[in-house]
Amino acid sequence: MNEETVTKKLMFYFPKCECDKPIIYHLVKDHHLIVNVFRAKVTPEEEGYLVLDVTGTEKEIQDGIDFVKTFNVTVNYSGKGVILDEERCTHCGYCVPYCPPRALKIENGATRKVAYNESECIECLACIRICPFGACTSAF
Amino acid sequence: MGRLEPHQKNGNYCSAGQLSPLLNDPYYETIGIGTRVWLAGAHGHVYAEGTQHAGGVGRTPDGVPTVGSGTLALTGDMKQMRKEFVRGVSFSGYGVSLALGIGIPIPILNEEVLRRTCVRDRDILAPVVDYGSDYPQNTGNVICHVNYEQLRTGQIQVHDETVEVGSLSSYYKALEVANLLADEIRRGDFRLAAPIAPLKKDTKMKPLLQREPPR
Repeated sequence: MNEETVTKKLMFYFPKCECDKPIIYHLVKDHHLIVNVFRAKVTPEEEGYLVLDVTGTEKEIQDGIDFVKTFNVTVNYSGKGVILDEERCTHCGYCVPYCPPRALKIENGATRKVAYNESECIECLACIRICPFGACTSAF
Repeated sequence: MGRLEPHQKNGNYCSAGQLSPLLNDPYYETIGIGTRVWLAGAHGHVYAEGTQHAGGVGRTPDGVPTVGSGTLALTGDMKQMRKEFVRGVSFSGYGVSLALGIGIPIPILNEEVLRRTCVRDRDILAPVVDYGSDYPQNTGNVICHVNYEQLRTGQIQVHDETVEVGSLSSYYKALEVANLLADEIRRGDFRLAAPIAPLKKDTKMKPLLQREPPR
């Protein structure tokens, strides 16, 4: 078994009925995961979203995800809370200085194409407020 | 018009720099009224100088203006334009604007025209201006000049401090426009037109001076 710890960025979608359960508590307590929540929107009587990093061994993470799935929660591995619409982005680079973790950066010095590295994104939403073209949007 | 963070944390700049048509023909030797232009995919033309056109500004020995200078008024058939080059934009704190993809062919008529089209980002200077006080108060103060090669690195030095900078113009799209226009010219689809009148080279910006209201 691989004991090496890894960090994965995940997005949970909670349907209306699952918002009152202490899921994070069980991830930490029962599955020994280190949890770093970037952004959450959980409103009682409504649906909820949660974007977080989980750190642990591959097995612990998989067990944690299996546990979360028993609650009718949708786990999203790709396509997190902040989405860059490639059709709207003109690659002007205006957003680059405003992105604290450098998830948005000029990928190629010759073409000056802007690349979005989703795994680096901390969901601060600065790009959403900044982008003049409305290319950055939030899933929730 | 970009958002500024406190304590000179960041700056913004515009223009495609070495790909900007007017910086490749800074004395308007080939670009004038009547010049055919690629306007978001449509074949339009220059019909006048644009608002805030200022041909008579300071220049480097190579003729590259060191402040905002030439502007163009263009017209073209919107039905022929491509939607990816006609884009509505919104800047919080400023308002709405329209971003357009524009390409202008520069025929190499002589050695001088050729030499000026060889302009590179390092030859183009931009004044660093404090938009917190000097710009709104129209003091004319310029902190320093930086070139576009420095701007493209994403960081410039102002008062011995590193300031991050971002571009409001898309170099990526400018490159796309340049290649699309070059293809159309090679295919014979885009026909060049000689200007029928030159753009003014001696005009300067006239600031709006506030006067006491008449009693």
